[in-house]
Amino acid sequence: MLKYAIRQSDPVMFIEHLALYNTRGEVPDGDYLTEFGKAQIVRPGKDISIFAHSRMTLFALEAAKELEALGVSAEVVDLRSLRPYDLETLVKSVKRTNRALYVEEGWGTYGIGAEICAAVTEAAFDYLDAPIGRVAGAEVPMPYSKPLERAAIPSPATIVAKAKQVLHIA
Amino acid sequence: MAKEIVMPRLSDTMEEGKILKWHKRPGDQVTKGEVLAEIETDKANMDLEAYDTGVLTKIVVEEGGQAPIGQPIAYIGAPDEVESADRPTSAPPSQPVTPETSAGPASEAIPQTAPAPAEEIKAGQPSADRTGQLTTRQQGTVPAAPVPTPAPPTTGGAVEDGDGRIKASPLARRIAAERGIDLSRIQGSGPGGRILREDVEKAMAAQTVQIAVPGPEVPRPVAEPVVQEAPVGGLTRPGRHEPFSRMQQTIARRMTFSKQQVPHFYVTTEVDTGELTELRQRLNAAGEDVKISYNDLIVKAVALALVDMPLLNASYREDGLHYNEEINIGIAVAIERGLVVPVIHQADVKGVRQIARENAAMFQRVRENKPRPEDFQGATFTISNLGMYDVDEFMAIIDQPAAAILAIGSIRKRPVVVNDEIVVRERMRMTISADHRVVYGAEAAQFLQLVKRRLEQPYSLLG
Repeated sequence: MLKYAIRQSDPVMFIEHLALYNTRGEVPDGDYLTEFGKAQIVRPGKDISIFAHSRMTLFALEAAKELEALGVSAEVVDLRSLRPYDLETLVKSVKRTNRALYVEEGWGTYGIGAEICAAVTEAAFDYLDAPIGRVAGAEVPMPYSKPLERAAIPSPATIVAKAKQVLHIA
Repeated sequence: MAKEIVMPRLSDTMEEGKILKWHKRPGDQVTKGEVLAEIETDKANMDLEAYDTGVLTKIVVEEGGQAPIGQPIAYIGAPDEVESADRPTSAPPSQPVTPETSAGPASEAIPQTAPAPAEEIKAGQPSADRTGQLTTRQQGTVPAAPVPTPAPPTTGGAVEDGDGRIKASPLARRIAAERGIDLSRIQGSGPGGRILREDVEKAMAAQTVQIAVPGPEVPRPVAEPVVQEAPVGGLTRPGRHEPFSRMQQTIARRMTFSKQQVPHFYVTTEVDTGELTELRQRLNAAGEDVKISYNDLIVKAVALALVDMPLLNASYREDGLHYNEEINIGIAVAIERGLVVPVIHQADVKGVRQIARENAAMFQRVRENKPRPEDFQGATFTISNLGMYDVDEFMAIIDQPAAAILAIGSIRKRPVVVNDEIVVRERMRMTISADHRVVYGAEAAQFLQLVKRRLEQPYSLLG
């Protein structure tokens, strides 16, 4: 995606996540590009759609694994670029699962999740079986202490808890 | 861009409608307000008027076809958007079809176009061979036995569903609307009793297996007398089988629901109608254009009593009582092999003469089978009068969502004791059937007293 950004003639704001610097993964050979405005279904599922971006995608994947143990098939969708974002893929996902959850690391109010929830509700209202849930960071200045920082941002456990709430299961 | 014309909600209880006739064909110019089609609902045949001006580009549901409320039945647009009318008329193009809406027996069963008569019979009579002559007839033209005394009234409620008060997820709502499922009869399993997709699907499954009182999505032939060859239940001679009309299906469903789900109780009293009769004669002797009937006076008396006792004008809701602001009185009217409940809206603030005038106009429209949608909507209390059929007294079935119905018997001369002497007086018995979840015995009795006082001092009705 960075390569794609560099090749644009327009200015692009590319935000890297510090905590992902040590994350390793396979990259296909050749001139591999990730376009903007194309979300990726990183894990298909049928009971609930978990939308996320950046590092929270990895947390959402972990949460999806935990949910699987509970018999819930969660779909995880990585937004990848936030503007433009890929509403079409999100709406298609919701039309399949009828329930959705947005996970973001930053503050929830006025956040990206708020925008996505509003847009998805507008586009897929008649396909929702429950209100779209949101998981976001605590609305405090980011603490310096590691345990406090962990407590301030979403975790797979908080995502699972919220997903269960959206699914209305104990 | 072509605009959808959707199946309109023409009555409170309507779940789907049948296109009897298209007055326009694709390619025809349509002006706003012009009659596009005639639609048969569970109660009556009504005209569908155009909301837009343009050209009818496409008819989705052909004559004889049925569609649930909200489903597109035709499109209006520019002349170059006209499509051939011969196109298959199954799925409306604007509605995305998801797996769960395209599958399932219910949606497959909704015929978009009328099946051939032979198929209709098969649908209604799966096992019986038939020998009788078959002709397709419209509802209402079936030769039937003379009208017996009418059953207590059926339909015509203020709020049944879709008013946002029933908690249901948007998805559940959409599926219910597509399948013609009544949300008010579904128990929600979601947070706060919200109805979810699962609940609707369960209700659908239950409805599909229920044969005795079929839901509206089960295709039924409309009122075609069929001779059954095989006699049933040990009878040696075959009887005549007559499928229900849509109205009769609705009545059956709603009455069954009310009598099974609503805890009825009954309180009867007798009213001295001497002064009422006299007042009526005087009013009518004045020679005005519209004669005032006993019904008009009773409507007014009930409306005024409801002002004094709004509890009887309330409706039962799962989480509490809903007090209705308007006092709208429904009056059960017998029509051939059916009944309708036209509604006098805000009867408490209308004069007796105006009530009479509205009643007369409404009955006329009902008789001509051209009622307006509002004629049947929003009743908060119902009256059923069998006085003209030589009836001492009777008990009616509550017409939900009203909390009570008042059954009126015949006016008769009876011996009564006045000042320790037996005298002959004109008397009329009335019985209230009340929903015990809303009204308790003493309250029903108190209400009857209020109505009685109004009728026995009828000049109060003119105030």
